Amino acid sequence: MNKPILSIQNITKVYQSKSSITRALDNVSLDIYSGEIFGLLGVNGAGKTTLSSILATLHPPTSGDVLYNGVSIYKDINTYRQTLGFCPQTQNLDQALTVEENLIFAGRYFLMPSATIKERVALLMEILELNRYKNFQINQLSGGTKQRVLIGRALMHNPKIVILDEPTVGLDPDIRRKLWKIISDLKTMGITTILTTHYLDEAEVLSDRVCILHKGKVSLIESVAVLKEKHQMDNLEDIFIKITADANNLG
Amino acid sequence: MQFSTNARIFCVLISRNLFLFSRQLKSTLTDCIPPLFTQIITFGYLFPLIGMPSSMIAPIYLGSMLTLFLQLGYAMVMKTGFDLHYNRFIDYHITLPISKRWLFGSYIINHMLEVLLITLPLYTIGILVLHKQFDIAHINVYALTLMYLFILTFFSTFFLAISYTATVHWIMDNVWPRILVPLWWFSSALVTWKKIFAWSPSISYIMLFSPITYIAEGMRSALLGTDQFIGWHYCILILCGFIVLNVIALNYGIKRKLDPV
Repeated sequence: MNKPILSIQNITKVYQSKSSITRALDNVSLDIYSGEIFGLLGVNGAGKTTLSSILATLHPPTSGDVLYNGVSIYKDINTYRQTLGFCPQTQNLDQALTVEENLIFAGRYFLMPSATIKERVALLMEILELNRYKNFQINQLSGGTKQRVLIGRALMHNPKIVILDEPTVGLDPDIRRKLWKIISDLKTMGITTILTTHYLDEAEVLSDRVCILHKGKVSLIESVAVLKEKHQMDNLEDIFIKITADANNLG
Repeated sequence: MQFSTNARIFCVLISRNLFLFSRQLKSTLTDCIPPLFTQIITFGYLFPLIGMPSSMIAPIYLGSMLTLFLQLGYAMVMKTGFDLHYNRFIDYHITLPISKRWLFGSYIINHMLEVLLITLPLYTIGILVLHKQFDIAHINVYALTLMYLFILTFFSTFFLAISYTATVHWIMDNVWPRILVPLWWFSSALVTWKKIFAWSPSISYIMLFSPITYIAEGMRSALLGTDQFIGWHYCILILCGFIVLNVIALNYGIKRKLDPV
């Protein structure tokens, strides 16, 4: 195995309100390797989105550290951000701009030269089959198309790591399959992908390794093939149900 | 290196807004021109018909035009509030390689630029229409520029602070009746502060709590240049205090709503 591109070390995230304290992540440690698709799984409230938002630098952890190529991302967070593409769960595109303008501005925010932006927009429009929506306003697009624009925006500056938080939630099966193709193509481009999902078929098809989070803790990290062999089961869904049931019994 | 990256991304953020501003200019002007002309007609021609001395036309016009700042600020509060509650485009900006100070600085500057580009021509049109009431020789350009800058900074930080400290639903229901209307009516926007003081010192003191008083009086003092108004120096000084309070509230709201790195 090559060196980890991201090393998550003892991350804890506590949300405090007047009436309650929620420990969304509890001492989570794991490594993510360069070029892999890493699936983050868990039931609702397991801490998947919290972890991906910490990796995307949306929120700081309460304690712990994230190392990028062995160096804490918090030492020079903006350099780390240059290497990162993030597709959040909410389709938060720039509503005031068209599809093409969203991509152009994504390139400009990362200070890409105009000629490179032009080439990259053309390439991504082609790959993501967005050409016919080029001049559409965001509110004219379907959920699946918005998701593709979101992925395009995240890929615009040629990031080394892409975080996809529930990228196929609420989409039709055929659109999900198209997005699967796009996600698996990221691997061939050499991009490390962190895929947060609660669709286990998706994780099974796409992920090199999966991490199951349960109540903010890591239950296991393993490749799908090894898991199937270890548990003598045919699909990830059965394994997931067994593991979460075991974790609940232990809890 | 870091400074230059921050500055360049900051410029892209500004250019995005100017790009959108130019696209929406027609509709914004359509919203702003009718109030301009109704105010010119009301305070320039109709009020004198029912006995308002003509010496009051210019000061009252300057105060009444401040409604434009409230109108534009409210639009920004709603846009920001909706984004924070529903769209969350802000999350994308937060993950850009720019420091938070520069990012929120760009939001403040963006609103200032937008308001400047709309209000300055409209104020000028009004002054030209009512030119008989304005003595151009008395205009202190230096004071006016400074005053305008502080007014823009005040409103920009004030409305951003509201967006980040209140929920969009609270804003929809309460921001006019509980914040903007009291600030407006308990100020000297429509009557000069010294006139109010002459009539009732205690009410005039209450009006000193409203930042609109200093904005209206500062504009009058810089543009009309007489001693009938609170001096623009004092107005700027007190506005500085209000701006500091706005920034503290904004900072608190950002931490509470966004919890950024």
